[in-house]
Amino acid sequence: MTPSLNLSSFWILTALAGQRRHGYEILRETATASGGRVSLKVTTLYAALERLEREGLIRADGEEIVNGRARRYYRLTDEGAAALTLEVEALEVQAAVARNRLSAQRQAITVQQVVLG
Amino acid sequence: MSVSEAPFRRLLRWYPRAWRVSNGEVFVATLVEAAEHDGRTTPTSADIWGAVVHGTGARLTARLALVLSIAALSFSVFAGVISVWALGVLAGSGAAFVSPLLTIGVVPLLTAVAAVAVIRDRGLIGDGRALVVVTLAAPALVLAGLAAWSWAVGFDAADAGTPAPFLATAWLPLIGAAMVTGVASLCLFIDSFVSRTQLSRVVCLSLSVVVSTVLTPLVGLALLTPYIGAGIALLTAVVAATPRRTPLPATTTPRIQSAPAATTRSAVTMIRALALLTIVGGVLGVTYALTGAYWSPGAEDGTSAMAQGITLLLVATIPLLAAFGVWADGHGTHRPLHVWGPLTLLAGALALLAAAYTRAPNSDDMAPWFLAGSMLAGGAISWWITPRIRLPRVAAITIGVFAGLLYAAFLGMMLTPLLAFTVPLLGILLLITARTPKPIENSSFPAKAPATSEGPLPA
Repeated sequence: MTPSLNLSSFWILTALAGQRRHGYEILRETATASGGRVSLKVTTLYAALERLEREGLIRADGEEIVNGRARRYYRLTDEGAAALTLEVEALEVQAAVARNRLSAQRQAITVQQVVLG
Repeated sequence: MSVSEAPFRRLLRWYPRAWRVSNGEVFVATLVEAAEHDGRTTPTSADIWGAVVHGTGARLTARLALVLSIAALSFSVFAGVISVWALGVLAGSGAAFVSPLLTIGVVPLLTAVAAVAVIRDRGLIGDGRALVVVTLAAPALVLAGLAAWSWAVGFDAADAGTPAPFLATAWLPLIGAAMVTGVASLCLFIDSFVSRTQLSRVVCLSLSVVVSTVLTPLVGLALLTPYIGAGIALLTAVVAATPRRTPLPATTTPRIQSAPAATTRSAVTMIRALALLTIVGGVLGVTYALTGAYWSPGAEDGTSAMAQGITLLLVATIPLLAAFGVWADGHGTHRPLHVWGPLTLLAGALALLAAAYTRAPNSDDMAPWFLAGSMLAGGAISWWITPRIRLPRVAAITIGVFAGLLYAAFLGMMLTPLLAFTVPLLGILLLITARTPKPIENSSFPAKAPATSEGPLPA
């Protein structure tokens, strides 16, 4: 199992997991949740939202005017939730493999230190 | 802080109208909200650059692809008509460059941009990458077209024993530049797929460079070859006109599909009898074409025997068409009219071609029969294709008509005599494969399925 979503898609889907959000909220949420690793531009965000919507992973979920400004909300679809779940599982498998290898390396170093006194 | 929308709204000009209508307001609102948060009053350079890339890329839509591919098809048909049927007239008028200009210049360029647009529209490559691919592919194709022209000019000069003109001497730099830009364009295109794998970046890039270096001459040659270029344009038009599949809600009831109607025992018997007739006629035709000069009093020489053999082969194809008609009609997916109509036209085209070969080797006497046969065969192709394309009616008719026109324009009937030699093999194939199907155990389907896919889907 290998991850298939790119970083932007992963964090946008993650931002929408559990609740619907509008464009600017998604920008903030992706920046916060990724610890600043992902900082989407507005132009990139809307290109990504369009693509994810076309792939059926998200859908528009209503519009409203707040302080004279249009807001469109997006929501994760069942397909989107399934894709994100698969992605998370794939990342967990990768992380587990890496964790085991690191653990083995630490044990080897410990044994070496004990042997060498 | 109150931020003016005007500088942000100006970014919308990069986007196509349809995009502005559906996303413009929320896009500007998000830009302004982000600017307010950052304490800015104007878009950042990244915003501007992003709008240029995504906005221009978003103009590469399925609609644009359809328009460009139809334009490419129109120019292909025009080029085919003038190069096959009016070359003599053009040579005298000094406009002989029109056909090559279209086939190695305009058509490949339009087709390439249309193909990239439809691929972008399907979400297979991103906006920015599609834009760069097109930006590199366009000069690559122009340079390749100039290189082809340079080769032709050099060839003519050598043939006439005159010094090579400047254009002819520029062949190497032209083809070199075409290759470099073509490889760069194709490399970016291939990389967008390879980079989705788990291979490292270096491996992805190396793989893309190797594959694109191998494929660039092939893609270039295919686009610059009139028949293949027109075929790619036709395929692009079909894909561009096909509506994107929208994801269905999970609760949607699956469509119940009708089982295909079974071919009856009597139909199979008829198919076998017709196939046998084709085999006998075909073997006779091949034998006559290759050996008739030695034993037939009607064949003056090898050329005459070949022409008479081809005539026999073309006539022998008619029962094969009838057998195919019985088979296709038995499957009941289309009205008998849309099976037998085009096949009758095709049989007529073959009869005209056979009549042409009775006048061989006098090409002037043969030409009108070839022309009539090509047009009839083109009509048959249009009729066969149109009701079978699951597209809106206008798109289906346009594509069907262009397929027929392309065949007629490029004198596809010239290829038919070559294919005629495969007729005995096709007859054998049909004889072997025509079997009475076993009765269906589960009788939930009607014995004879209704013609469910009668015509194109409504728009």
